[in-house]
Amino acid sequence: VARARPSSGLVQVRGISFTRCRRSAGILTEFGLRLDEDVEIRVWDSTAEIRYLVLPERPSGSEGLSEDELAALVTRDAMIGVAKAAPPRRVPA
Amino acid sequence: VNGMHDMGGMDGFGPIRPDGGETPFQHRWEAKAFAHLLACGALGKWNNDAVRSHFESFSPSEYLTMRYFERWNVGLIGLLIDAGLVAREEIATGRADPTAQKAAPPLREQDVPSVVAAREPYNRAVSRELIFANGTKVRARNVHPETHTRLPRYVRGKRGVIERCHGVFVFPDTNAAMLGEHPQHLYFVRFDGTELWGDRGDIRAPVYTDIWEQHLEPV
Repeated sequence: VARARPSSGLVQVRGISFTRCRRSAGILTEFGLRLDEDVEIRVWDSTAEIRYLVLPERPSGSEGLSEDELAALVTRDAMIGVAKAAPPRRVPA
Repeated sequence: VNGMHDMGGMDGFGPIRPDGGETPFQHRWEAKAFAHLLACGALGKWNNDAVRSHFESFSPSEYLTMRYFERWNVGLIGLLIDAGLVAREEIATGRADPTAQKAAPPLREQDVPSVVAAREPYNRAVSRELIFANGTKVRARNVHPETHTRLPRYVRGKRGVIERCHGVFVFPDTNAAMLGEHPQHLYFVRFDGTELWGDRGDIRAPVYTDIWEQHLEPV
């Protein structure tokens, strides 16, 4: 299952997109992810040797963070499109 | 083959239970199953597509009751038997036959890092005439091979649009049967949710999948 705002990142979850691509928004809620109605969802079924990673949307409040600090916000689930990158716990000075 | 692995569009498996973890293995034996298949793959008796093909030969009841890495274990035994590296008797008794043929050359411990690091690219630097340009309306062929294929059942006979060509890639359908690579264009194809699932389709969610040229026809 993938999701993307226009010009944002994409992409796939092996197995999930494969078996349950009919009700994508519902499946995302099983992962605890609720998306606004205006968010386009794209399902990527990786049937070849091409592998896809989601470039997570930058969370609000992350301005001014270093590359390492940003990387710490990214989880596996964020890179397979079933979670958002976590917002930083404290706003940097 | 229209096997149990090709589950796209099936209902009834219940809700997804996210594991929440970031580790690839839940049990120690799973890591071993992973290592065993990679180590034996280095013997060069089969390719990645042949492995998938073998895993797809399980009956539906076997397939669904085995854990993911259990299929790796059971599948590897079948691959080893088919390749003549292990006899059924040895598996049944758990004892190696001292007269059995040994794989040559064996994978040595010091070679493991380089073998694991060596990727097995599936794209090929050969030039082919491009049949479908970006934006072309296509239909996935309604084919039902009795051998390995990567064309999901749920797209067969359905209309889609070429989004992009990935380049020239090995064709798994022939490669799995060790019948040659038959490199051809691999396309990134978009299908509307309603084309695939009718009135249950999610209009918010088109499905994108990679399809080899041989499995596409012009609309």
